[in-house]
Amino acid sequence: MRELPRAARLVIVTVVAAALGLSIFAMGHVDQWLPILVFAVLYVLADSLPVGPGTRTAGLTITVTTPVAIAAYIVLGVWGGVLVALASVCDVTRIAPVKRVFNAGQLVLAVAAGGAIYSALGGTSTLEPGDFPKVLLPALVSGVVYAFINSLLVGVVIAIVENASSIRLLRDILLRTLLPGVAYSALGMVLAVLWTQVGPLALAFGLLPLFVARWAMGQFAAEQQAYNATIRTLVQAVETKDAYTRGHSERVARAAVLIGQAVTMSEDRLQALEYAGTLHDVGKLGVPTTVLRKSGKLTKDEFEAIKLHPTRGHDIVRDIRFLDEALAGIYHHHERLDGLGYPSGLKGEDIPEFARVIAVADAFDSMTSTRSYRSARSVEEAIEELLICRGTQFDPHMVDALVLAVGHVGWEPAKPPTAEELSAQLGAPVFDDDDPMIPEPVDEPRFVVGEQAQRPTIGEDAVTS
Amino acid sequence: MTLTAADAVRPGGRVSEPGLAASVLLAVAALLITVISLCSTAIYGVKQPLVALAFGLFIGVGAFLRLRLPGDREVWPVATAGALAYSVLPWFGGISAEHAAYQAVSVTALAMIAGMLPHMVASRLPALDLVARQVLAVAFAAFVFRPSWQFGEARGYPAWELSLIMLGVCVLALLLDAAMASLVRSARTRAPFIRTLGDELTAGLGLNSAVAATAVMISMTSSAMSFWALPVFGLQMVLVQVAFKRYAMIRATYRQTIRALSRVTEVGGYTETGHARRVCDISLAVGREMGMAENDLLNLEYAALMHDIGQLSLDDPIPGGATVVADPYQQRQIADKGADVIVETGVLDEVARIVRHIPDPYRRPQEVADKSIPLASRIIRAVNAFDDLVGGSLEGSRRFEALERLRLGMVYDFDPKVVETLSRIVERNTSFAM
Repeated sequence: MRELPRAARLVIVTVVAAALGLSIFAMGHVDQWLPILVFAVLYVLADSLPVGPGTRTAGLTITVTTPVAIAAYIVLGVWGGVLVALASVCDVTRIAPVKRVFNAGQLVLAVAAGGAIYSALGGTSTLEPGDFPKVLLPALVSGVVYAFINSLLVGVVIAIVENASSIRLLRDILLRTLLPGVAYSALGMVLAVLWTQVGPLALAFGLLPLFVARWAMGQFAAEQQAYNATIRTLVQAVETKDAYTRGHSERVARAAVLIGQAVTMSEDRLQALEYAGTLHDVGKLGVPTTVLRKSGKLTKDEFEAIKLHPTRGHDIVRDIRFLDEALAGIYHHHERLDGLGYPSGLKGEDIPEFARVIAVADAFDSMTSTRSYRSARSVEEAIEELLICRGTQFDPHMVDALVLAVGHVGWEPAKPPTAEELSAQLGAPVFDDDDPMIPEPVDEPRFVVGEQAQRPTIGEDAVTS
Repeated sequence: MTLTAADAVRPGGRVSEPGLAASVLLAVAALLITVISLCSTAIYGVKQPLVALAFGLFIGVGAFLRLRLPGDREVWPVATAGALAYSVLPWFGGISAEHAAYQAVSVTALAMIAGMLPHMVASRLPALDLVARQVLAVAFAAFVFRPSWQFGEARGYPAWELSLIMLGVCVLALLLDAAMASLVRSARTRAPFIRTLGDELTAGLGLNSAVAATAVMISMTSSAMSFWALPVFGLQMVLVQVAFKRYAMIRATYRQTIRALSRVTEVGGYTETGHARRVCDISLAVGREMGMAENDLLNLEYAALMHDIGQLSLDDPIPGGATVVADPYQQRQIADKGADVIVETGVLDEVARIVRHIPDPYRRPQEVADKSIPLASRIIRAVNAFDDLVGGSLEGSRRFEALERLRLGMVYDFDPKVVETLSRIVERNTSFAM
């Protein structure tokens, strides 16, 4: 508690004191203790059951105790509800006593406010068939008030501790008040009705679906982690063909996500972008190892073989249905803004956004990594080069986004391969078509005619002209 | 003519869907009950039509919001909960619910068909047995509960006891549904019934307990709240469904990804096109028929798809990728390298163990069969050899030659039980394809 800011301490002490006062007052106003005790025990039990991982992922939070608290003040009246809320101080999962006490305190106040509103608006605790629908409005309003007090008190303390702006605080409170208030009061109401019919069994019935949903969310989160670990590892594993490009896919994914965040993509798209970055070179595995490791210059044919890798990558992963947008990112990641890239020669905005992101991330990691024919460039040099190719090869927005993000959070470039790693492979690739500073091989006569034949090389000449 | 791996394993699929008989049987039974129910309802009239309409709407929307769980199981949790609730409904808004079991079945069947219509227009047909099973399970609940409610036996119980009776009826109905589903699955995959029943019960445990509890809650609370209870539980069940949908999606993605990445060795020229997928499909058929549990089948599937991943560490691809012609030392090296990669993921330890044991003969000279070798490894070992020899060819003679060679290897190399099952599958399917 000592490390908390003064203002936060003040709020906490006030809340706890008010809650204590209310609770002591409540104790004098209840006559039936047994239902309160049963409710309190069930509340604490529900609260103490382990929360699986990931129940808070992607904005879908499932709280099982809020409906119970609302049902408590509907069935037991405001004072009974206050005492149930007070019992939440016995919660065994929250370790920090300050948190636990404050949480029980704000709960007491929220329940008191909700319960008071409920009975003031004419809500009853008998819930006979004749009471419907007229008790529904009090229940809804009281639920919203409950959620408001709850999110206000918690939000204020968090805002003080984290020094958050008042606008964010207001937004958070609104988000947590209206919809959750309505939803939880509806669930609280049916729990209350069930309680008047079957007693404590009601909570067993009522909480089961919520726990099942939470369990499924936990399963989802666990499976997603397993999935991420699996594709990362498998892609790394196949990268072992070449000591120089080890970890390339993972770093490209990281840089792509940095760019995506800087251009404010949604959470779902960032996830897809990460997969696209991880899998963007999966088609290179289809390039024969002999070509990848060939020492000496590549012939035009061999370069054409390498140029097939986005298509091959696309072929491999196209059956993964959910990748969807990421697929286009993989297929087109070697397109250039001026239309001189491959495989489709798309121009400007025609190139899918993911592809434009990955192109920049790919070039950036390639330049900051060691290759057999050159040592790694510094981050500054790589950024300078990106800025030169900005608008011709790369989407200016994406380049700016990367520069901004790298300036903000920094970049840990690839480590050069160790001597053992290099001795493990005989030849090493001399050519890296991800690197914008390397001209593509032209040592054999071309049979390409038309626009393609006059296309400038990607190297220095093109940049300076 | 291009044939997919699935055709090679199950060419009979185009002639007659295996397990169709079981589905048709269920469908006929369901149709019969529905027609009788509709007639009876038409003769005696609809009791409390507004209540019937409300529940019908609930069930219809639920049938529209379908959900596919891992293991290719289509479920309609919202519709099932609504239909069961209507079947065991004691009161509605303080008035005794007087509808007969026939009416409950009629409402369920009509509402489910209405909910399916939009999908049928988009030619996304639900499995035949799904609708049949739902109707039959609901009919069970209705015919058990409604008569005893209508004729007063159940009315004497206190509410909490009544709620437990209702729960019991719902649970039994869901168990019946699981039993019917496993019957169909067992007929379709030729897996032992007891195994598919176990799989069905485990797979449905979480969602079905939510369905049963919700059904009872809808029934009990609408006794007091009349129409107001339905939307609340509808929303709650949708929330539950969303959670399961996300889980099902990531599981599907996982499978698709492993399947896709299994092609890396093909594109790299290490293995023949379609090899990993063929080995996977045939291995799964063998595993199922040998009665492996669903979780073990998933590991078998992943191991079969990734069994050649270790080949990527080879500098020169083996001709045609056929590990059967590689020397034992090289085979072991490929398996070990592959297993090492898979272990790295940190979540597929069992898959890695299976891959590591693929080069192991099922027994060594002068010894009894090695129990430490997973069944999955023994299956992949035999199927891999089979596919290396056949190469996806549908030519009958090549298949029988390959099987003959496996049989010759039964002394040490290949588990006789696996070879026997594999032979059965291959012979069964060639008789259709040839």
